[in-house]
Amino acid sequence: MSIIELKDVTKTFNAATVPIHAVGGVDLTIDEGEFAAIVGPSGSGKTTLLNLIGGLDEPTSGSIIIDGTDITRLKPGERTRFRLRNIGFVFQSYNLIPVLTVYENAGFIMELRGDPAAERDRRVRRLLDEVGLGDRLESRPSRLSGGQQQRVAVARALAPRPRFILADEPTANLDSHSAENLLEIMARLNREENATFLFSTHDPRVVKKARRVITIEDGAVASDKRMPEERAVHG
Amino acid sequence: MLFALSWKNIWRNPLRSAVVIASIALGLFCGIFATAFMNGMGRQTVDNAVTRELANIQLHEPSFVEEPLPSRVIPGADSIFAALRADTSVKAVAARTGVTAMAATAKTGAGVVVKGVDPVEERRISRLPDDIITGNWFEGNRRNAAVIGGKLAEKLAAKLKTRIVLTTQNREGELTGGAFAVVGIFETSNSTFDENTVFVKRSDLSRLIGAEGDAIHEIVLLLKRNESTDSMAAMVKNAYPGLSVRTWKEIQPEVGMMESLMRQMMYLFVLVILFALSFGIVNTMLMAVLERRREFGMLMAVGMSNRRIFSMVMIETVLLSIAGGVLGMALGEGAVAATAKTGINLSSLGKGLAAIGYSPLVYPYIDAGFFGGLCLLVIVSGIVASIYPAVKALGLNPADAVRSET
Ligand SMILES: Nc1ncnc2c1ncn2[C@@H]1O[C@H](COP(=O)(O)OP(=O)(O)O)[C@@H](O)[C@H]1O
Ligand SMILES: [Mg+2]
Repeated sequence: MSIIELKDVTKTFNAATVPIHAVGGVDLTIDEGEFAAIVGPSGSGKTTLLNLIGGLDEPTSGSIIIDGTDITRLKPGERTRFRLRNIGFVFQSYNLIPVLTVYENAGFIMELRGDPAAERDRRVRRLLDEVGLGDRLESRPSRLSGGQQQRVAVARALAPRPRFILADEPTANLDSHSAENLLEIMARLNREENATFLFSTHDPRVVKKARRVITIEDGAVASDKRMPEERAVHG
Repeated sequence: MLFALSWKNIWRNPLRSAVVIASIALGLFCGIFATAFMNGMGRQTVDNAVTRELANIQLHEPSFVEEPLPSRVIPGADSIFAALRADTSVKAVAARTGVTAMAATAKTGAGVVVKGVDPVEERRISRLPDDIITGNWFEGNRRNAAVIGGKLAEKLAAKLKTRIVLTTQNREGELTGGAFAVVGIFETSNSTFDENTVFVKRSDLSRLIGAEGDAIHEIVLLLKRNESTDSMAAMVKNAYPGLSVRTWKEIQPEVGMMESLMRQMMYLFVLVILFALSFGIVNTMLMAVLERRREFGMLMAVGMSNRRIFSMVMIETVLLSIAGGVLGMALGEGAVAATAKTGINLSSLGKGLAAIGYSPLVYPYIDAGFFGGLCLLVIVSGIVASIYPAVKALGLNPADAVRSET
């Protein structure tokens, strides 16, 4: 069953001199439970595409349908609410709240959504265990390594069980060991929780972990390959 | 959740927040103390006027108020006096004879108000006998004794025992006069009063104006509480519709007006302080917002509503203001409490102050209502100061802000 459906999506930035066609005519479908990477050189339009899917930006034309809702037709306030209810975000620079503990950060989105405290507590503890930070609940983000912070961010995004998680270059600030470790954790959560992940990267080692690789060139889908199951699991 | 987060956010940059909190506290402290000081001065003016010159309420024959002729006595003064003295809210009552006169010594003369008093009665109603700097308040049974103000003594070149001739009208409107010996000289903080007031015994003055027994032109009431002045005046007016009944505020409106004017000025003063401080608050919060662009970007991206982001900035700002406000009020209240009993001695400036009616010892005080108003003002300035930074935060583009450096 498809969760995300892009139909002929374009995005043109009206820069000072010439208009920049960052995304041009993309058709794309992402199904529930996918673990998909968007790959492409710098400037190819990965970020723009993820911003459009995440409802942080509006396309110039085309429609973006998420679970049957065309988010391009939502008013700004509705779109904000839609993001809170349906989409998880993991950012390149982790973006944890420095004054909150690991535990509080991981539960932040659930708290923002007003989810019951008992459920939040259970969920946050379990996910932090999953990402290997069960013993750092009371630490502040500044006491953690980049890899650990990004794992907290993954737990935070996943905690409210969003329909899918978007991650724009989640490993770009990490060393290769941490990057691999993060991807393994994401892949495991994808299998165990059937959580849908869509992430961008230009790191070949990260690409290897994906079960589907969507290559973008000059704002258009150049190739779209599904990988055999074993590679993703044991790679 | 927003409260806890906002409070934690304040302490992200403890030094910066501490500076803002300290400046708010200092500003309010100054505002509060200055207000308490001015309150003290204002109350003193009223207190001086009430306990030395005017008392709370004065009764006259209505025409006496228009023109104080000796014949215009209060009819049935004795029974009125007795009835008023029996009232439980009344502290003391005095009956006076009052005329205007020319006072002359061998050297010079001056127009004066002569008050004929019962020295014992008067002591109960007025603190003036305590203000005598030389001589005494009608001690001994000497006839035609006078107690005069220091300023008048200076003007007439009179000392103790100097003979002063008082010339006035008698009950029939004919000129009459008598010689009085100065037995006491007083000095109050009101130099105008000191310059034109002469106290003599009621019996002596009544005899001078040819009255049988004591001529009572004026009955004055000192109340236990100044606050009950207006209600008591209404009651007295009701009981004696034929008389002029006036409160100290009606007799000398400028005394009361001065006090309320001062009060308004102090509110304005505090308002100006808060206004100036709010620029500091706006600046601090603006810095706080711009420093946290990436975090605001994240909050917006994950779906925090504009309303909540606005509230978060507002709560943070208001908490900052309240922290400063509470500290400032505590300091202000502490300073007022420390000086309220002993008073602040301004005797080095005392001469100038006395000329405009102030005593050199000021007892600062502040009422709870002022603090209530202040709390409200602090919160309102916090809210107002948060608007611009909050709007700035909402103006961020989440997609860009999540990737920014800060
Ligand atoms: N806000 C913007 N305004 C103008 N041009 C933009 C903006 N964002 C991206 N672009 C342009 O769009 C193209 C795609 O950028 P981006 O989506 O960031 O690529 P990638 O994430 O793959 O590096 C680039 O040419 C970039 O300069
Ligand atoms: Mg990018």
